[in-house]
Amino acid sequence: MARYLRQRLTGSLPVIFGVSVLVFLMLHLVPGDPVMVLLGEHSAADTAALDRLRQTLGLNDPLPVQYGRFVWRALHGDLGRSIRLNLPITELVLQALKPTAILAVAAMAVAVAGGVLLGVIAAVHRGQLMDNVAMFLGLVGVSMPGFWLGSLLIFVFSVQLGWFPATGQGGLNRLVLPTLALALAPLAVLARLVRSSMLEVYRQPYVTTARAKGLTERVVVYHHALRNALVPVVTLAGLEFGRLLAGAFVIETVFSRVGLGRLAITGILNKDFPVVQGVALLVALIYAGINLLVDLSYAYLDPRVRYG
Amino acid sequence: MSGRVRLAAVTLLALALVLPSGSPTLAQAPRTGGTLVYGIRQEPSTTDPHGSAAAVAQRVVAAMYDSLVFMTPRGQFLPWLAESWQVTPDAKVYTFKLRRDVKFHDGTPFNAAAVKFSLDRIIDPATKSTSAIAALGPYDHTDVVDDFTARVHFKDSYAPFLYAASTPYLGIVSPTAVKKWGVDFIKHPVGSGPFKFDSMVPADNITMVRNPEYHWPPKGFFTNTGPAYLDKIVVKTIPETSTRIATLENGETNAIEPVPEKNVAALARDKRYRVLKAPYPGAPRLVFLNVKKFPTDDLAVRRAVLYAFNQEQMVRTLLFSVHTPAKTPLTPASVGYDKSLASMYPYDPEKAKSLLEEAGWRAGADGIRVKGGRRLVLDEFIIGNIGLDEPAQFLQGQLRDVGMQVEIKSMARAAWYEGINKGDHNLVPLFYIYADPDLLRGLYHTGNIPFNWSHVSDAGLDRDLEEAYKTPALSKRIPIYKRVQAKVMDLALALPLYNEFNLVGIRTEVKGMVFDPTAYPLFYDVWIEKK
Repeated sequence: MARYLRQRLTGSLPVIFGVSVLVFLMLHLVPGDPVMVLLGEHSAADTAALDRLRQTLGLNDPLPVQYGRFVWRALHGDLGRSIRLNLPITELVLQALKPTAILAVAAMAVAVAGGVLLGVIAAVHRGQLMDNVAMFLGLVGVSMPGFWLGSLLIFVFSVQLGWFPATGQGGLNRLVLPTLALALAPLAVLARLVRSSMLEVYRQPYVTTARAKGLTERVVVYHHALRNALVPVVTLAGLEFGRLLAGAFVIETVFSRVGLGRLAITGILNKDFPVVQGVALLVALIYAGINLLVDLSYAYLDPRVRYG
Repeated sequence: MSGRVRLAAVTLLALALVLPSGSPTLAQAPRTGGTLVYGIRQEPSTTDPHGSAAAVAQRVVAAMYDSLVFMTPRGQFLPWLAESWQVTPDAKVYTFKLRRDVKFHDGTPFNAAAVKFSLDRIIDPATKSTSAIAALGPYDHTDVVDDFTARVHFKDSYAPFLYAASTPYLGIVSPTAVKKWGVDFIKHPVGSGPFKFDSMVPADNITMVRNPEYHWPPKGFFTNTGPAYLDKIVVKTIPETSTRIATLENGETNAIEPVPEKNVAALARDKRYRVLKAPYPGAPRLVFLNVKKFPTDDLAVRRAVLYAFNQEQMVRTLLFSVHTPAKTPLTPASVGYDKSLASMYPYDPEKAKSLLEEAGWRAGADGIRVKGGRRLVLDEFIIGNIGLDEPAQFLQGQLRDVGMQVEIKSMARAAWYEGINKGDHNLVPLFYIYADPDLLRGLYHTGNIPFNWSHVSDAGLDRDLEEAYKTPALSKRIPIYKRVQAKVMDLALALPLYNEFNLVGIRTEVKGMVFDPTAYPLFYDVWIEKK
């Protein structure tokens, strides 16, 4: 187990390194200059100011030097300062991480719980009305864009009914709407997978055996069938978590929540290189961590899987 | 020159709209207490007036800092931190007599040393100043004559300085706080304004609370003379338009900016809300025509563009008649506006066609005109998705009618700056908020190429703009600027589109909001009626 972990962690390093190089190159190869954005109309009026500011920010150095400086600082826990806000990026990123994590975990919990429940109901009542209703809901969930759903939820529950606030973070009542908006798509995807996975497991001999032993349908479904049906579901849930982080970028903007997504988007629009690099690095770390967790959970769900 | 220094004209219209319509208003005594939650599209990027401030930050900065003088929307200067001032006839030396009873939020007394410290800080490269350093112009140094007299010296004549000194960009900071916090001053900003910094969550909000000691507002503009009425102001960033409106409706905010044009009528009809309109001073929304690039290097083409465009129709169809058609290089809310120029280029497509014919542009097979084998194609550079697409498409349609083709090149902001600074465009839109007509120098003086996006280089224009820059009396500068504007129109350097208003939506319990000369809200007089 320890050896496996060590291997996996070492294996993640090139991935994270690769992401940081790619993001760095993309940001610098796309035309445009953060200093010009910063100076706005003054950039042309005062070329001396432009150069002075570039010099101060270290943007005149060759790319490998800039990248080297970024890596060296990052290894020391310093991601530099935002060009636009002039605040330390470690601080910005850490401040944004917590609300994003809360939102992502809440949405994932809702998606998994709802998806499994819906999927099981559909599988158990295969071909019947319940199945059709569940799968229709699933279709709606997959097809509805998050930003649209978000605006709709705000209109109904914030403006018309006044049940929940539309913006901000902190407190359960500010979490409900963005969680729903974010959870619906992965919930729908998971429900469909749980359904088909359950139906496949149903055909396995051990399910027939369990029934033949006289076990109640409840035990058959939840104890025998579901646990085995969950292996592909966990894989997908891991992938969906990644998509969910991407979805959070949109949802955070719609609900004006502080978060990594909004930080990254504002950073990209203003060519605030260090901010985008910081967020990308953190997101890469999160991805690598989640993939590892997914792999480890296989051993728990399927006793045949062992890491040695 | 001070770029986005937004100054502006508050406006009688805005004041009129604040009053409940219909019955005459009974004067109510302002109530102390309450919180203003101000939802805004773009994040105020800083709390430091001298830092790399985007214009939007001025709403926050103006509440926390005081400036030396105050400019009314009509271009009149009032005493503020400076009780009086003198300018030498060559506009090179400004002497300010300062108030003696002002304290910064941290208790530091305000004096001439603080003025010198603030101005010197702006030109220090470590401050990374952009707008403030531009506003300081040819600054040389400041002498502390005595504790309450500061003398500011410029290397060259700089008549617009009084205006610059009235803007939040040249707000005075507490020297003690700057020395204590250094680069982290942005997290611990200290001024002497009616509101004190409380807290900030980047990308989310900046919160300020009342300064209980405040009693030194500009003389003769506000009704209030003591501490502000509001307990607290939360400036909250809400980028998504529909969400911003939803928060006004459900009471999470009690004021939002901006209200999209299409929502103005619905909000204004509802008794719970009011839409305040403050006209921006400076250049209207306009499109520059690059005189150095084919085919806009041809005067006939440029004039044809001005005749072929129907501003009235654009305002009606695209802007819900919220803004007004623009026909001049400065908006009507600007000091130095020349109304007589408005009739120079009436909408007249036939005139546009005949101008093009006379200049040898003949319609080709597809209707696009050709001269010497080259097609009449104009490249318009715009930033995508910030509201410039529709006006560009509208222009495209109108010019197509007279045989000109507009190619819209939509790009990200940074790439856009790079392209237009190189002069690759024929057409480029601009909106420039500035309350002093000196902005014309930034737009049309040879020395400002490439920010002079029409790339014009005209000896007469240069001479006039320099002369006005060196003339201290505004009354003597204005006739010069009228000459400049006439020349700009004669050479058809820019196509004015529309005069824009800052649109602020408020709940009716919010009272007393007025605007600074750049049409930005001022919170000092704001109070909240108890319902």
